[in-house]
Amino acid sequence: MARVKHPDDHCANQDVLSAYLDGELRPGELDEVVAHLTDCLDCVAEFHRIKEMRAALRTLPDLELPERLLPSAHPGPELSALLDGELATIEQEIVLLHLGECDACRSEFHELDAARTAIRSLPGLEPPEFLMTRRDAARARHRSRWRVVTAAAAGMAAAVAIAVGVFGGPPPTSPIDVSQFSDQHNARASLEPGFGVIPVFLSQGEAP
Amino acid sequence: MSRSLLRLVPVAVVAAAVLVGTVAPAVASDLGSYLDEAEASSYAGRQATWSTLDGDTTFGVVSVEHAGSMTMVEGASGDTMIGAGRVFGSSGAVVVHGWSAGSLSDRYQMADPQAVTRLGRDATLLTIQEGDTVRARIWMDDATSAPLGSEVYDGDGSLFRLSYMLDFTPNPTRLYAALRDGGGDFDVALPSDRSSLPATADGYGRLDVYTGPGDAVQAFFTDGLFSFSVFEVQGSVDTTPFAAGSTAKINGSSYLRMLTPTEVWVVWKSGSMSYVLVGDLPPDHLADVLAELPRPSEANLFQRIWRGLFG
Amino acid sequence: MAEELVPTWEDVARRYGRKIYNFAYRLTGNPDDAADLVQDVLLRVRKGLAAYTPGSFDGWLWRITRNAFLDGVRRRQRRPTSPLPEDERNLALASPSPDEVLASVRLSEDIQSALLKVPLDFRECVVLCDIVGLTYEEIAEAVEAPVGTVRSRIHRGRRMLRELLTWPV
Repeated sequence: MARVKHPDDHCANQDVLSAYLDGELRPGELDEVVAHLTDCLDCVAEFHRIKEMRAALRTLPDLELPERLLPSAHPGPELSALLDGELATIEQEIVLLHLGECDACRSEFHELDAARTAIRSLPGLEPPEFLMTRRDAARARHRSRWRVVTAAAAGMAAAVAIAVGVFGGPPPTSPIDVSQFSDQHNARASLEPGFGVIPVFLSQGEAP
Repeated sequence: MSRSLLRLVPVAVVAAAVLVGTVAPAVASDLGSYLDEAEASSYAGRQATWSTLDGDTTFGVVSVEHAGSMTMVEGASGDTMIGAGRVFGSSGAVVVHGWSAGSLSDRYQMADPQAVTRLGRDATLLTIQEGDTVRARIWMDDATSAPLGSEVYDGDGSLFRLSYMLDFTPNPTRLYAALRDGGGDFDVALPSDRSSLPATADGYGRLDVYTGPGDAVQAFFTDGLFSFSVFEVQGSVDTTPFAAGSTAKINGSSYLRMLTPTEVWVVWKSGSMSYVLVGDLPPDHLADVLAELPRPSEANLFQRIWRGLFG
Repeated sequence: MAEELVPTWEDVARRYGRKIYNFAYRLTGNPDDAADLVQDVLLRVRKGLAAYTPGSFDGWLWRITRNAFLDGVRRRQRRPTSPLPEDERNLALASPSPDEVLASVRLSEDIQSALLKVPLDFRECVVLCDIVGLTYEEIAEAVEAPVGTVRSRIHRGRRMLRELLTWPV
């Protein structure tokens, strides 16, 4: 099979051939190209080869976009997967953003979540106050079920009300009850105008 | 130091049915007005919140009811009432007094509000810019001024926190069952001037310092939009409540960091002091703030202390 | 109230989704990777729309698409499970079938296989030109290279493709 002489040996700057085919010639190049093609059989052959390749590319089947990729597409099984923390980050974000915009899916999600909460609040099972992704689900979380509130003796003369609340079993010793930090922070933060709008909060009854 | 009270909050809070009439949509010309109206709004519903940080994500759903500056939150393990400087939980209560900054840091600008639909209701989308990036978006219900959802972005434009109402009931009438009557047992966090922390950190102002809980000293910082508290504790801190967290390298130092749907926690030790930071600020702000607070100590003592802290 | 001059991400998905999908499919040869890319791009568009200032929307979108694609490539390179483009497959193998449909399907597969062997620089320019249908100017904006470079890559890409299809590797 005869190999055509490699065009580079003969003609410099064959890019113009593609540009010519794409209608992307710069001003003044057209005359050059036409003149050259009249002259040079190698380049004419190359021109036809590139033209054929371009045509083949442009007639490749155009695939349909799978409907499920549209933002308005309703997630089905993904809702359960979301609750299980089984979705990859990008997919999770997309489903959550869809939930933010779609009333129908939100109520379905609401029901799913309620069903799961009901199951998990059966005796013997620990209700999670929030769900974790698989990545951190393995880490154990300890929850203090009790709080000891002590008065701060700061040398102020003001009357101080002291509350001590102990619930559940015998209190384990702990130098600091960190769950109170959240309460005290949120108490002060609630004085800021943006509280509850941007810094939305979860129940403070459980330790972080 | 004595501070005058911005809001006069009666110590005795009476449980009562809260009835709120329809709120006419106000012409709110700036973000402060929107936020004030939101605080005064009355609504109930289920709220979903989702946060992500370095690949970790958390997600939670709670029932909320908001009226008269107070919000009741029902989670899986009980009710909490928050608002106007107080938090009433299932096992205790705390009240603080303080002076609100009342305004947003000037690093924020609000873009033109947009009319949108949300939850089938007419709503307004507020966009809060920080320089060139969108820092937060808030959807406000036109009829009640209630917040229907919000998004908070990290400095690189990625979504950090997403929150929205799953369902929405305007102006519900309800008894706040969890409200404690006057003379109830609560802790008062007393003002203190013992903090060793700087007066500002990355545009956040240290507005108040309190004692407690326990022997801790709380320094509260805010920039008008986000806020955080840093608790200083002598000695070591029990880190078992942070077992869900992980070590994070921030500004070249190691911190223990934990993410909840609504807050980020950072714990570290510097010298003989332990620090516990909690707040809702985005990750890039957090890094900049930590750079201006005492750094985790690097002394030779460090490894022994570190092991003692984190095991 | 301000008009909604900025398209929603649903609008973007409906108008451009198909092109983005085909772009990704032709570049990766893999429908799953293509679907991932569409989702990634839509998400970035969703996040970026708030900050988008009116200008060349197409240019902005294709830049996002390309960056998402490159990020995806880097992610996949860390996972050893994806088939490598250097997969040795004999292209001019089977004898042509008399059935026209089969022939065109095989041609399409052959072209796709050959495309995956062309270096990424050339491949993306050829795909943006012949599959997506952008002008050289638009491609230059998307890949952040001068028009002359784009032109050269398109031509060399096509030529390389042609040679791959004519002679087995």
